[in-house]
Order: sequence, then C-alpha cells, then structure tokens
Amino acid sequence: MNDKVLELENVTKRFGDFTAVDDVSLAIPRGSIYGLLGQNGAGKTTTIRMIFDIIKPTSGRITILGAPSALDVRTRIGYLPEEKGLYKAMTAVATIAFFASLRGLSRKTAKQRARELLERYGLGKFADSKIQALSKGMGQKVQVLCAVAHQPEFVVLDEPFSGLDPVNQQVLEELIRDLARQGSTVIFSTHVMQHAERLCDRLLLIAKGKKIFDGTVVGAKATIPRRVLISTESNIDPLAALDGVAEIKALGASPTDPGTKDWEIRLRAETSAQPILEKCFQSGIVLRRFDHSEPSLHDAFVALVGGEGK
Amino acid sequence: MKYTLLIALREFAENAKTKGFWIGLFMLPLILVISFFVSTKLSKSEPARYFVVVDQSGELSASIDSSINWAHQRTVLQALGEHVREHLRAGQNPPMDLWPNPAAVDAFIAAGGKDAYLSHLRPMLRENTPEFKEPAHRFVRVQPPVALDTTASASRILETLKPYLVGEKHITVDGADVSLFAALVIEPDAVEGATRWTGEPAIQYWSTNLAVDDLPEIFRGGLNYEVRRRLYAARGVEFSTVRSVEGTQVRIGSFDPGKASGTETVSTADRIAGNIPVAFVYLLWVSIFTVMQMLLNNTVEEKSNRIAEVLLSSVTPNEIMMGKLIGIAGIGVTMVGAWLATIFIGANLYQGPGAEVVGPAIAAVASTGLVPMFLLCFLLGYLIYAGLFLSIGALCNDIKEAQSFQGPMMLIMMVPLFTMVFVNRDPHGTLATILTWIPLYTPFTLMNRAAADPPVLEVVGAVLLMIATAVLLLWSAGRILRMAMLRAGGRPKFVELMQWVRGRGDA
Repeated sequence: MNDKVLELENVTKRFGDFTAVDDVSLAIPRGSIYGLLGQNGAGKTTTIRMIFDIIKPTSGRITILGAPSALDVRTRIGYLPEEKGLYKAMTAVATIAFFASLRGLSRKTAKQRARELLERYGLGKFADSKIQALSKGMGQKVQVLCAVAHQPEFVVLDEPFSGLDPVNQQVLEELIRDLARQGSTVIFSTHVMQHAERLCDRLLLIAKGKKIFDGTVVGAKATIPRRVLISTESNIDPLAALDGVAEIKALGASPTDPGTKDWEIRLRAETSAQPILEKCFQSGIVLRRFDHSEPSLHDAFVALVGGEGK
Repeated sequence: MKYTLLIALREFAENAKTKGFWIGLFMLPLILVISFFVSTKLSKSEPARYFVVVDQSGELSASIDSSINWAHQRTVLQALGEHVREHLRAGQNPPMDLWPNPAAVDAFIAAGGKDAYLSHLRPMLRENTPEFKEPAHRFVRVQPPVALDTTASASRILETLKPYLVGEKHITVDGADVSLFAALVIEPDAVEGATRWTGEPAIQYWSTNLAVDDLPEIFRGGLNYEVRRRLYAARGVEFSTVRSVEGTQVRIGSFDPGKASGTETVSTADRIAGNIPVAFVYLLWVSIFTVMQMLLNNTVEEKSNRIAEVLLSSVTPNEIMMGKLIGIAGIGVTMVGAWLATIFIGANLYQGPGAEVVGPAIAAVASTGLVPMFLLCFLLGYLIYAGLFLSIGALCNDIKEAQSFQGPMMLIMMVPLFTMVFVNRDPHGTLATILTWIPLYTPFTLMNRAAADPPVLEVVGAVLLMIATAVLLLWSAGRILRMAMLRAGGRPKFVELMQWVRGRGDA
C-alpha cells in the first residue's frame, strides 16, 4: 500500500495571466494531520479544488489515494469547502445522510451514522430541524459532519474553524483528533496558528502560489532564530562576544522598570540560552528580566511568509 | 448512474415536500371541479330578472308572454331530460323527445308540460328517484310602476322608468322591493313599423345589463313570430303550415375518412375529442412552466447557498445536471399524471348533464395517440426548456437575478398559448407549419396538431428537431453549469459564455 495519500508533482494553475498555484510539489503521508497555511489569496483553495478535481491544473500531476482523479476515490475522501452552504429546507439528519450517501454509504447506514454523529457532537436535539432553523455555528458543524460521516481515509477541511465560537472550535479540534485516531489523514487550512500548532503533525506553507515550507511544526519554528529578551541597568557588551549570539538589538527604556533598558539577543541556530545566563552571572550583569520563550508558530509563519507574502 | 439517481431522489423528495408542489397537484383538478360545479350551480341559481312591457299597440303583449313561457318550458324540458337520463332504469327508453329542440318544446307544451310527461315517465325511473324540481323562472314580467302613464310618448315613458332601470328606485313584487332589469316599450304602430330600418325603432328594449342577451332574443323571437304570423295571414298563407314546414330539419351526416372502415360517422364525442389537443397544449404549458420554476429555483439555490462546491467534489457536473433533470421530471410527471388521472377518473365517474357525451369523448381521447403524443411532447419540451433554465440558473447569483430573466422567458413561452386556438382551427396552415419548426414551440404546436393527423414526415422531422435541440441545449447547459457553479461575482460576458460552451474557459 502506498504510504502517501496525496501527491502533487509540479502542479501549476493559471487563470489567464494570473498564476494562482506555481509549481507546487508535495506528498502527504498516511495518518497525519497536515496544516495548510497561507495568507488570503495564497492559493490554498485553488490547490484544494485541484486536489478534488473540481478544477483542472494547467500543468503537473495529482495523485490522490493512488488515483488520478478524486472522483475515482470519492467514497474514500471527504471535503469541507471554504465556502460553506447547505440546502436550507433539508433537516440536519437528511443533509448529512444525503452527502454521506453521495460518498458511498447506503441510505439506511447514512441516516444511522448521521444521527450518531449529531448526537455525539451535541446536535442530537436538532437532528430533525431544518438547516434554516440552525445557528451559523450549528450549520457549520453539520457541514463538517457531512464531510466525515462516511469515515473517509482522507479529509480536507478548508477553514473549518472560521465562524465557530471557542467552545465549538474545541469540539472541532476534538473531532479532527478523533479522525486521526481512526486512521484518517486530515488536511486543514487555517489562519489561526494556535489550531495548527495544537493539531498538526506537519505543515505546508503557501505564499503567492508557491510552497515555501513543508515539514514539521518544530521544523517550522526552527527556521526562525531563537531570541532572549533581557532587562538590565548594566552594560551588556560581554554578551556580544559569545559564539552563540548572532545579534543584540536595543529595544529602549523598559516601560515597567524605570532606569533599566530592554534588549533582544538573537541566537544562532542550535544555540541554547544557558551560556548567556552563565555569562550574565560571570560578568556581574544585574538582570531585572530574562525571558527565553520558544518561538510560536505565528512567529514562524510571519517570518516565513514575510518576504514572499508582501 | 448511482450518483445521478441519488441527486434525482433528493430533488424529487425535497420538491415533493414543498407547498408549491401540493398546491400545484391539487389546484388544477380543484379549479376544474369547482369551475364546473360553480358554473352549473350558478346557472341554476341565477336570480329572477324582472321586466315590464308597455304595449301601446295592444297587439303584441300576448306573444311576448307566450315567448317567455316557451323559453321557460324549454328550460324545464332540458332539466327534465337531465333528470330522466340520470334516473332512468336500465333498458328503458323514453317514448318522447327530451332534447330541448324547437319541435320537442312545442310537443312538450302541447302535451301539457312536465306533469303530463312525468306521468308517462315515472314508471321508467328507478325507485329512489327524487321528485323533479322545476327550474325557477329566469325572466318575470311585472306590472309597470303605478306612477307610469302607459299612454304617454315613448320618451316620456322611459323618463319615468329610467330611475327604476338604473337602480335608483325599486318596484314591489309580492311585497318585496326588486330591481327592474329591463323594459320593453312597444309603440302604437309597432306592427306596421316593426320592420322599418330608418328613424326611431317602434319597439325599444331598455336595460343597463348588456351581457344578458337572451331576454332581448326571447322578445325578438316572440315578436318575429307574431309579426310573421300576421304577414302570412295577410297573404292568405296558413301559418300552421309554415310553422310545420319551417320545423323541417335536413339531416346531414358527418363522416371522417380517417377513421376505420365502418366507424367513419363523426359523433359529438369525436367533435369534443378534436378539440382536446387545445386542452392538452394548455396542460403541457402549465406543467412545463411549473417544473421550470422549480428547476430554476433549485439551481439558483445551489449556487447562492454555495452548495455547488461540495457537490462538485462528490459528483461530476453532468451527474448533477442529469440528477436534477430526472428528479424534477419526476415531479412534473407526478403532477401531470395526477391531473390526467383526475380528468379521466372524474369523467368516468361523472353522471351529470352531458355525461353520455363526456364518457365516449374521454374514451375517444384514450384510444387515439393523443396521450402518448402528450407524454412525448412533455418529455422533449421539458428537456428543451430545462437546458435553457439550467443555464440561466447557473448564471444567476441569486433568485432576484433569476427573476429578471423570467419575464422575457415567460413572454417567449406565452406564444403557444396565444396561438393555440388558431393552430387547432387550421392545423395544417402556415402558422401551424411555421411554429412546428421553431424548436421552443415545436412541442406545443405538434401536440395541438396531433388530432388532425399531420404528415408523418413532418411529425418525424419535428421530433428529431426537438431531440437535437434538447441535446444541444443540455450539452451547453452542462458546460455552463461546470464553469458557472463556482464562479462568484458578476455574470460572464457573452463572449466568455461562448468560450465556456466551446470548452475553452479557465477551470
């Protein structure tokens, strides 16, 4: 069995003179939760639409679960589009059952599964309510359930968290983890880095249609220099001589501690903050603050996309 | 095919749940039944109309009364005929003519009216037959208002009667105030001047209601009778002889050479069946128009509610299109089937006036190729218009935008309604031939011409034209649907649309 659920080889999509996706190649391993990150208009949705054979690439090749077209494996895949919409006059249970039956479940099984899912994710009371009677958040949950009711091997969720309140965002995170636990491979696109950071095994960053990063969350964070923030009244020149220090930047007078100054010390790759702390003690530098936090995925995103995204 | 059927099933189930479907299903039969019964009841419960006659000649009043009575007796005979036909025992045959033709009415009056006839007919009726109710008099002559000087000039008489005729004053009949419906003023020299065509007429009929024309017709009949009787007498001709000769009817048999040998006689049922295509054209129009609204609304809903993308990830645009076509066609067939069944079953169960003609007419329709032709025209007409409406639906972002297209489409679709009577009257004429070859009108025109046996080559050609048009429009709709469903924002320009149809768009 191929351990890649999705492979894109030099995929390009042009609309007239505009290149929406530019020579993207990637391979998604089976069983992972993959984050697809990028600014608005970066080419995420176009890439997803090509994956599902809704639009054709201008050039390049896409293989999904070993097939050349998503329609060949439609019973094994699930999709939540960015633009969410449902038949307003249908009930929640009928909606989920309809989309699940389009993905290969028998109508009876589809109905049973729909009820189970609605019950499990807190919408049991609304199973027989029409979509038009549900709140926006409930409707969105129903649509997520439409995408996963047939227990697909591979699911793509395009901006699944948008429009959901924090409680429902947590429910959705749990649903994505459940899918992964059941062996599904999940790709989701998001602008909210905390979700990606909490959920993803791997990330794909796209900017202006180009792939700019493909790897683990740790790898993404490692692409940006680590830093230490200190506040002191002392002279910090001794620190500049350390091997691991790449740059020291004065941030100005501390707003919380009058008479002290704030400094940002950028470290070279693979460098720990420990030698800096030791050097401070050795050199008699009086520290009012020593802040060495891990860079966030947000920092990594801004740093990685910064150049390409502007 | 499985996915097409799933889409079709959803379309059918969801549309079948709408109020519009159920209203459509019951509305037409209900309207037919209500309009039939209401018109029958209304005609029976029409209020009595009161009129006055001022006969200054003193010679014509009796003939007016006689004519009014004759007209009433004809209504009584007609009602008696219906009553007898409804309750006649099997195998019985009334010995007298119960159809309201002039000779039969004369015989009816001469025999002594309903009581005399009923005494003969009662033993032939079933045991539980209710009593025959004589219809109320439609026109009742009343005495002129007391204030009226009947010897005054016609203009003076009318001046007095005018407030009564326009409803400002009422006359009293049996203690109740009633409106005066009409007045007939007959001048002294009316008999001599009855036929003069210059100057003021010697006999004047006054009424504000111009729609009811049978009262002046009754007057005219009675007066003509009396004046002619006098003129014949003046010439020494026996009027009863004239009357008898005038009652002679030449018998002309109608035959249709297109019918099977031995059954060429054209019956009333055949005549009705000949006009049935017009009803079928109307039915075809209503059914196609109704289902097109559904198709348009559903397509727009999928686009405006952004359902298209998730659908397109599961099924191909062609599967979506075919599913919609089958599902909505199912709705249309169900509706039309229900209408046809109502008409056929209703006509078979119908026992009222004219039942002896309705049954054979329906049987004649059922035995001809009209119903299969209707189904063929419905199917091909549906596919042609579906191609158009699917494209329109896919190109519109919301229902408001779609409605702006509906006006022109409605006008285009109205043509078969405007022309259906003319095509039926002259099924092989220029208009019928031209409309047959305009694909949007072919289904309706072919249906309308079906009873007149149009040339086989023309029928085959028209069917092939409909098939080709449907294929072309649906093929284009498939292309447009694929491109337009995911497009946001404004409508494409015509050039872009043509590129889509030719398969050269960016998607």
